[in-house]
Amino acid sequence: MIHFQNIHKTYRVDGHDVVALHPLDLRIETGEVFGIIGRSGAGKSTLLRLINGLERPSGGSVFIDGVDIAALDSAALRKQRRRIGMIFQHFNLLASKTVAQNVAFPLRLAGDADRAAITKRVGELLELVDLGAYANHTPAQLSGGQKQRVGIARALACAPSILLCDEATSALDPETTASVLRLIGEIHRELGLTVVLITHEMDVIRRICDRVAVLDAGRLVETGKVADVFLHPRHATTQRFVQEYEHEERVDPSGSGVPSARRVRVTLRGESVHAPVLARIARETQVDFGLLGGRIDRIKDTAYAQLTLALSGGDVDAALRGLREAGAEVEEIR
Amino acid sequence: MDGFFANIDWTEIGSASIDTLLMLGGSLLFSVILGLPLGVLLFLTGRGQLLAQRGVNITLSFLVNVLRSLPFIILLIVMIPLTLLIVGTSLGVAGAIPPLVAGAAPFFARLVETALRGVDRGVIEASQAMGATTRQIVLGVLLPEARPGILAGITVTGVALVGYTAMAGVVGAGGLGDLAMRFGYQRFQTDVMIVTVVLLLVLVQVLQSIGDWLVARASRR
Repeated sequence: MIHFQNIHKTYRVDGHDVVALHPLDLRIETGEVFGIIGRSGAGKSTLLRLINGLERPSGGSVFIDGVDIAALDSAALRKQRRRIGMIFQHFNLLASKTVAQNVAFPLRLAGDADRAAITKRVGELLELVDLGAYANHTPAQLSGGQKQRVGIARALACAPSILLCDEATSALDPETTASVLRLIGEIHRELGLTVVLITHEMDVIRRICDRVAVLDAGRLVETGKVADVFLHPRHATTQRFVQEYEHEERVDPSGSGVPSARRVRVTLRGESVHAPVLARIARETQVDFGLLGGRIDRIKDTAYAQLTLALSGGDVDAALRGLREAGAEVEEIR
Repeated sequence: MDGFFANIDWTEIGSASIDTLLMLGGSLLFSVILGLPLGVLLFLTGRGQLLAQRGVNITLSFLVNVLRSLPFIILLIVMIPLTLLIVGTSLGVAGAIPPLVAGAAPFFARLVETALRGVDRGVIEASQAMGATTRQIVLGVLLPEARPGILAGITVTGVALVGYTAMAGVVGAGGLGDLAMRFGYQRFQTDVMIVTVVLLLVLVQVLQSIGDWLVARASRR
């Protein structure tokens, strides 16, 4: 478990104190995929780097399985870092070394494996990321997605228990992003490590995270399960992130078409998404359902439907009750 | 033809060429041996770097600037007592090497520093994240990643040293520059002047070509 306890960070820039992180507490459970979302300058990069000590806090503690990272001396910190893999937005591979040498690098740094063991391990890792045929290529000969796969293989070389992803897909096109996220998901399932990723895209959070924290100007403004935060964002910053992902205003402000209609947002999750709920309730209550907006998609492995409806005529209250009884979350919009 | 090359003593030209090559080789070798760590230190102690040490950085930087701002001809004279101490003579090829190194090593150190600054910060950060020590980062990351720039620096330093060796004649070091000075210039033997200048030109061309080839090979990625 990673536990930030009253952690804060202030930088001194040209004689002024700039607060990167206001005091915050946060727990990341062992084995989960935890996402941190925020704009640039929100402090997410600082927060991520506190985990492996690339940044030292101005105050507070970062516990990993009970060990306070912020209190370690540099030798102990280096040892700890070998248990934490990290991948980067710009991959940060050594241009002067081959793919195999890049993956071997952390093993050579650790210095406790002989040449044959390193060669064997590098082979396994390259197979894992599907780059077995590229061992002797140099990074310059690879595509962005392939470079990130090398980065992932390198990060996993010392069999870490934590994988940190620093905007790992931000420099990649959508298709490559999807395949890299799939790979991270597979690795998470197979190796059972804890993944902490930072991003500015809700889509990344939606695809692979279990829980999410939203940072805004150095403050933690919202934390929770991805499905809850994504479907019912409370803080204005979170709402904007979700809107950006959906490329639309959540509610058409011009109304419903029928002036007297009541507007509601109905959220269905899991199996109930595909159940014929709406038609049954419309029939039973004589309510007319107007569609104002909607989306049927997945959050990680769970299907969801979120529809904005205009209800008019018939017994609207009975219809809302019926929807709730059918397992839908119903919010009225004014 | 006979008339034009009448003044030329080819044995003398040969031994002067060897002197130049010895001075060049010796001083380049020691300039790299001293300048490389100095350049690494200049880089590492710089602001925001791995061993950021303002005091050390300013001191080193000042020392380098002093040596670089002294005209080589002055350095040659000022260094005489120190040269005597180091190589036991202030004359000849051996006597020329310490001042040549004192002039070229700081120059090369700056080139090394610049080459290291060109290494992507992200790569250094990634190495730190992998638990690398500063020593491992220098030897395993910084120097290999900056190799093309460092090789280019060695080439530039070598070419600059060819020019410096010509001046080393002042302390009786011999070499092609000295020959050009004593015979070509002072005795108005234009043919000697031309032959020595052509030889120096060929030397510079060869150095540059070898350097370019090494740089190209190191940057093939």
